[in-house]
Amino acid sequence: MEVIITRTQKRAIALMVLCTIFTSLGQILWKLGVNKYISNDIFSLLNIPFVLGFVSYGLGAVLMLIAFRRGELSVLYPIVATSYIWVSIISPRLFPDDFMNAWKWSGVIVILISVSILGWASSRKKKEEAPHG
Amino acid sequence: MVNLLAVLLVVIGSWAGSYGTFILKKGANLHTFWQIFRTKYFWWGVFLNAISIPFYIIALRLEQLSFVYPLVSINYIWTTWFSVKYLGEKMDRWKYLSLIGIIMGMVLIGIGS
Repeated sequence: MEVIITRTQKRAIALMVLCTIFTSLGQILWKLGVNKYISNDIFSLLNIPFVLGFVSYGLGAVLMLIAFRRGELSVLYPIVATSYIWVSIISPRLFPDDFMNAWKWSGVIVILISVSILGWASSRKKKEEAPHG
Repeated sequence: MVNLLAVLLVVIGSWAGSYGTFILKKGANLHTFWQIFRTKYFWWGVFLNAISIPFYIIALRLEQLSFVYPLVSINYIWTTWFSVKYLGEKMDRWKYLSLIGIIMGMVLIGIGS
């Protein structure tokens, strides 16, 4: 019982992390697409990066839905914060006006630690709640 | 100088998105994976998440991605509130600690922006 519950929660957490990779990719693709936007020409938004952003976000949403069936919203949703890590690493490499500095790296590290605490505490709590023997 | 309109757009968009996420979770609790696509929970959840997107897109036009993206973490406050209030989930010290840590991380990234 203990092993099954813990694995379920861990699997849901892993699915949420995978979800954040797709949603981060979606955000970056949208930014690339929005940069191609020409004022007063809404059809200029129909470019490949912008459309692919929706596809990537959609895939992330499906993974999130699967994860939601296996755990608490208050545990799983904050894991979406892992997106900051992916975006902070990738964004400055793609957009010349974007940059990383000590403050941003500190923020990324604090978020990484916070999400790790959440995942660890969640698995630990489930173990304690499970019946013994 | 921070663009206040961008901040306002993110606050409204994040509320809509979080409420949509809460509805999706409610649907996921009540239905199987394939069933959920035929329920009002799924479509309302998708709709609310979808209407949050234009708010983010306009905010992205007004500010840098590295500033707008951390702001979207207001989502976590809304979502946690919905989890406790409407889904009956319990908060503990670790969840609070993580939530505060995520918001602190957001603030640090914001300062860096």
